[in-house]
Amino acid sequence: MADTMNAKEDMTFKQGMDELERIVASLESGEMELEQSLDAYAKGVKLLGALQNKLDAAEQQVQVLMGQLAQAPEDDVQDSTLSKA
Amino acid sequence: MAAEASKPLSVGAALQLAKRQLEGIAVRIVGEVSELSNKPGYAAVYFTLKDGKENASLPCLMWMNRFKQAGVAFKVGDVLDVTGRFSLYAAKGRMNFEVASLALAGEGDIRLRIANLAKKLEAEGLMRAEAKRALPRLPERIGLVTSPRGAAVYDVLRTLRRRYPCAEVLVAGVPVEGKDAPLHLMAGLDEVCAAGAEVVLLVRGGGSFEDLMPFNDEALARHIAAMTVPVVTGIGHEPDTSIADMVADVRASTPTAAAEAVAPDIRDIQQALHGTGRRMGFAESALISQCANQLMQVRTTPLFTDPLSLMRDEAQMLDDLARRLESAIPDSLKESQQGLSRARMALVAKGQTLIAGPAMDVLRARTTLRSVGPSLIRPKRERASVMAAALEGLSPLGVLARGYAAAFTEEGRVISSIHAVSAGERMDVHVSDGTIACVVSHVTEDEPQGGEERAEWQIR
Repeated sequence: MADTMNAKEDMTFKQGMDELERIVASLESGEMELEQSLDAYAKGVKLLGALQNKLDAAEQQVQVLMGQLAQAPEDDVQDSTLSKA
Repeated sequence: MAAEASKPLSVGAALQLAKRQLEGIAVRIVGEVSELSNKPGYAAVYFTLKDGKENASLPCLMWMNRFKQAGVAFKVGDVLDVTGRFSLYAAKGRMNFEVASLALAGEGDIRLRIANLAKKLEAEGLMRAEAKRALPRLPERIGLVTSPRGAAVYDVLRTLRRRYPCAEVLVAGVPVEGKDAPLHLMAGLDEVCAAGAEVVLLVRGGGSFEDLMPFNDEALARHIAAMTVPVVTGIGHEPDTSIADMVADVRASTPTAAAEAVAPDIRDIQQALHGTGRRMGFAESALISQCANQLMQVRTTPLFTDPLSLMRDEAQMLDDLARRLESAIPDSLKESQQGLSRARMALVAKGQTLIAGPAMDVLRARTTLRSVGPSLIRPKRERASVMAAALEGLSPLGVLARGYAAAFTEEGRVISSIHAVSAGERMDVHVSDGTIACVVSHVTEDEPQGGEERAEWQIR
């Protein structure tokens, strides 16, 4: 997994978040060399943008492995479990 | 009684009389639900129990708080086992059966079996808090095992889409009711796991106690406990608790709540991302200002502000040494000087003793010389006078005075032979009172017999 860390496109959202968290934590540790920290910062900003884009563009994917889903109700149909509760 | 009957009562009083009598009768009744009215806002649930065989029906009510406490959902056609007492609603003159507790008929045995199963599984440790697995923070794949029909599957999908569209949902649509439902549910769990689900939702919508029975299956419970990924249940509604719920890693009250439990809210994530971005900015600027501070600190160190201070100690040491040197040198010099003058005095003394002897010798010699000198010189001087008188006689001047002349070449050499000059040359002839400058006209050699030497000079 560490090998793919540099290829941001290949990273899953979670890996991206973890990587970002790692970058921020190392920046916050204050133990980085200035040049190193600037690199990390640039990388972090890029990663942050990529993650934001990923969130904005996320569309639910549903894969039906067993059975067949009935006709999907309209989204404005009220959540049945909520209405009954 | 007869006497009393002759005395009329008011309606209210009569009903009060009946009410007192009726409310004393507490009974347990089994009957089939024929009508049901359960509306929000009502103080009680109203239903009718009937007995088909005896063609009898009884209007029942159960106060809402008790109904909710009992947590038994039932519908028209269900056979209920109710306990309560009769009551009279005076305003309508209507008799009711006020239900204190109820259960689906025959359910008692089943509930007991379920309770025993729960105890057994609990004793085996299947419900221990330590056995519960933590849910993944940001799941990539969420498994969903439920009926493909009905509201529950869409409640879950909608909730997941709203909260966390990033995850892929793997749906196993399986029958959730009936005798074989547990087997289908287990197959569904395996299927979504095999497809890579990191967490599985096991849900179904609300239903009767019997409807939810598959979720009390022992094999399913053990299957859930043995799953490699966490299982979140959302079965039925709030009060329903199944064995599956008990052994699940997280138990949610409804399918929607289950979906909410596995999926982080995308807004929270976005907010967290914002926060992370800010933290990153803070951290980096803190790092930069830290570096700037360090630079400032270095710049304000004595090295840069007062470089000389670095050598202050050394300078002081140097001064100290100089002082010590100064105080040390004159002493030695004095010593040397004293030595030197002592040496000079010794030298002088020595020199004088060295000179004294020879000086005396010189003095003595000089005295001797002074006394001896004149006696040595006297005879010589007398002889010299004699010699001088003799020399007087030999002087050429004397000869010249007698009429002789001496001839000299231009260079001043005495001419004693004719070969000394040649014709045309100049010569000087010295006589007693001066010199006659002459030019040679010619020379003549004398006869070898010794005749008189002849020279003919022409006066210039």
